[in-house]
Amino acid sequence: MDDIEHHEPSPPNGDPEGAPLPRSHLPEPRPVAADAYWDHYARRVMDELEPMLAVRKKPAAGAVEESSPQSSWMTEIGDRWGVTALLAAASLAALLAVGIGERTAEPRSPSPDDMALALIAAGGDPTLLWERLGIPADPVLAWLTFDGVRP
Amino acid sequence: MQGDEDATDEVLARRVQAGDRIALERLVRRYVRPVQAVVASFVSEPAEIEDVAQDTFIRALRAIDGYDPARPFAPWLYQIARNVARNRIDAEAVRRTESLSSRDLAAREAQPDRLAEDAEFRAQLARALGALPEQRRTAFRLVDVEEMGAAEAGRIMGITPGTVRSHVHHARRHLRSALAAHADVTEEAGG
Repeated sequence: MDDIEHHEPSPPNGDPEGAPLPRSHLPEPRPVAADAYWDHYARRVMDELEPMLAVRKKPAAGAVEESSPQSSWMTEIGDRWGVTALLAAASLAALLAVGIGERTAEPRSPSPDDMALALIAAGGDPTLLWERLGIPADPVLAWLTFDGVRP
Repeated sequence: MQGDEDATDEVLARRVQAGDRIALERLVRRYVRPVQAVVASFVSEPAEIEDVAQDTFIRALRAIDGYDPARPFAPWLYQIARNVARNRIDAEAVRRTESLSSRDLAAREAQPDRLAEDAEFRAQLARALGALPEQRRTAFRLVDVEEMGAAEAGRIMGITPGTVRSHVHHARRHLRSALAAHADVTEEAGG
């Protein structure tokens, strides 16, 4: 593919120059397939891969095939932001009910539906989450607030 | 998991994308030997072959989200193995040359004539293999050294069995010519 773009002709039958070289003149092959070496080696490779797979935090096997892209996306958000988002939402609700509410002429308390929709639409971005709730937020401060409440 | 043994590479890879550890292990066990065989066409030290093959699986897992399960898995993994091996060669070319040179020198000084001749032949073989185009060298490695069938080698490399056979044929001719000084190579071929 890379090195040879053209297709070369097949070798003519009985071409002695194209016959296999003696085994003794070839490099050493890898151990045969049934060798216990492969079990040890596969274990070694898996020891490296398993931690990597664990931090991927993907849905369980089969979930991707059966679920729609939308539900997969929501699951992903839930996995990543579940606890953090709930804590942030609780903090936000407390702020709205106590602090901000007293200083605004027309207090605005988001309904539970508003809150849920805002969480989904924010896609894990704390700045977006605050903006969805009508509160202009500095990106750095928003992230710091989230990091502060993250368990 | 039941049925894993028969699951296709592509199905297993899709499950790995979803975080399935068992599917990952199936793929690793299925491909440790072919990946090492491919890597061995680039590097020769057994420990280095193991390291590069392991890096191949690590890179493959990192890139698994970019794999399209509608396409064959083996050539995708093969490309990763090639790239990892090439990078290793580029990074360690100087060290490798110095290391081999000093080892060859030490071997010639320490070993009897016959072993020294063997070492010389091995070095000549390595040079001849290194002069082969990459695909030709890999096809030769898989078929003649690892004794895979042309169909299996073609499946891994993503080329037809006929192209594999053609690569192997031309590789044999090149090696036979390059090693012509060793009479038994040409004699056995003729006989």
